[in-house]
Amino acid sequence: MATSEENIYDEIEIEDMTYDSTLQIYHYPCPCGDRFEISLDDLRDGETDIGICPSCSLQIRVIYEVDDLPKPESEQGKREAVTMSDQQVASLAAVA
Amino acid sequence: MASHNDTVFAFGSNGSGQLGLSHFEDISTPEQSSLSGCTVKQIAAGGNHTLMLSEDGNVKLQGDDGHDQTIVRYLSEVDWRVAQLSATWNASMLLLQSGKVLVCGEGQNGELGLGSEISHITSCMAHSVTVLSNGEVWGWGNGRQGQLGEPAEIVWSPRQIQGLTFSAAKVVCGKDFTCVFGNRRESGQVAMFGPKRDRFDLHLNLPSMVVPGWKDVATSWGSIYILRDDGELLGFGRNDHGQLPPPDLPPIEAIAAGSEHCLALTKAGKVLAWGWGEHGNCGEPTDSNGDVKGRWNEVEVPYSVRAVFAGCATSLIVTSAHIEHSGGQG
Repeated sequence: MATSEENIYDEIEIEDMTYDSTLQIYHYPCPCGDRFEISLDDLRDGETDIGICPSCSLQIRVIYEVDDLPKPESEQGKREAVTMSDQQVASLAAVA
Repeated sequence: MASHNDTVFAFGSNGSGQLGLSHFEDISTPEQSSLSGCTVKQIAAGGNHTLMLSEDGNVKLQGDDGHDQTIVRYLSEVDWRVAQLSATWNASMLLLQSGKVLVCGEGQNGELGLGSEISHITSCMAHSVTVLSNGEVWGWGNGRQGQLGEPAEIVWSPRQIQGLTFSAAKVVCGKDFTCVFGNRRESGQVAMFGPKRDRFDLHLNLPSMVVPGWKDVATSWGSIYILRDDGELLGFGRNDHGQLPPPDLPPIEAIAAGSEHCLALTKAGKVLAWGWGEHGNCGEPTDSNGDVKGRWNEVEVPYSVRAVFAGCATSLIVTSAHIEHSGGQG
């Protein structure tokens, strides 16, 4: 469904949306009983700021700053992988 | 009033079984609901559940909310009688005849005791408001748009809405605003709290005083409706899906506002529907956007219509075999 201003039901601030950490989506009630959804990835990438309702044609625009979003977990993972044991360092030195 | 069993018809959004039918499909033609079988006093609806209050104070619930068993257990344990209902997105508020409020549902469990007796309770998507017998207005829930007064924030425990200059008689809630009405036979004053982001010019268009003689008021998520004694229906706010009263309506006896649509009972006993009808909740036909805009549909049911109610894209019609209408032009 194409996004036109007519289809935008409302503009919702991200602080008013509910974050589902399992599905990694933000959601907000739709007047039909289902929920507008937008994925965290979409918001981070700036791909789209439009929340879609799976049950009807209404859509919302999400108002947010990228800094408001949860930080990606992969940054933490990288830091851990950098730490090597003394043995690993010694064996690398031996190879070099 | 002689006790009689009502037959309730429902149509519209039904993915969670909120219409109380034998299936989970949306429908645009009224079907008989399992909410039938007692004398209906009131019906309230959240996002996916419908609550029915009978004249004898019992509550029935349809739809998936996860808290129907809580309600049944509370009420059976202590033999409380319920006077009035309201519902937010996924919670239910029961105003007991004792004047206390029982709240149950997702995110909230508990009983609220407020000092003064509560005479009226109403809710919309994310906030609830009560009118106390002394005319004060107290509310709780999402107040970030100013709908619970200042400061504009989430209100976890009931707090008085400050700045009201008159005694409240009735309150109605939209998604991001609260509208308070003074005694209809006296000054007829109106005050609105929120929305801060007023996309549909509610603050501009709503009068600060309603001509005395308002019979009832209602709100959809973005609009306010005022029904006058003479049957004229006024509307303010959102109209992008035809939510406001269409022109040349016949005299109206009762109004029900859903999330983005209306159901009206005319003085001649007919049911009319207009607004956002994508889920069948305004009957047929709708335009290419699913709207009934600038016009209305007449919805037919067997038996005489006693009352109409509406929820999130759901419509409910209470019928009885024992009604006589005052008449008037159709």
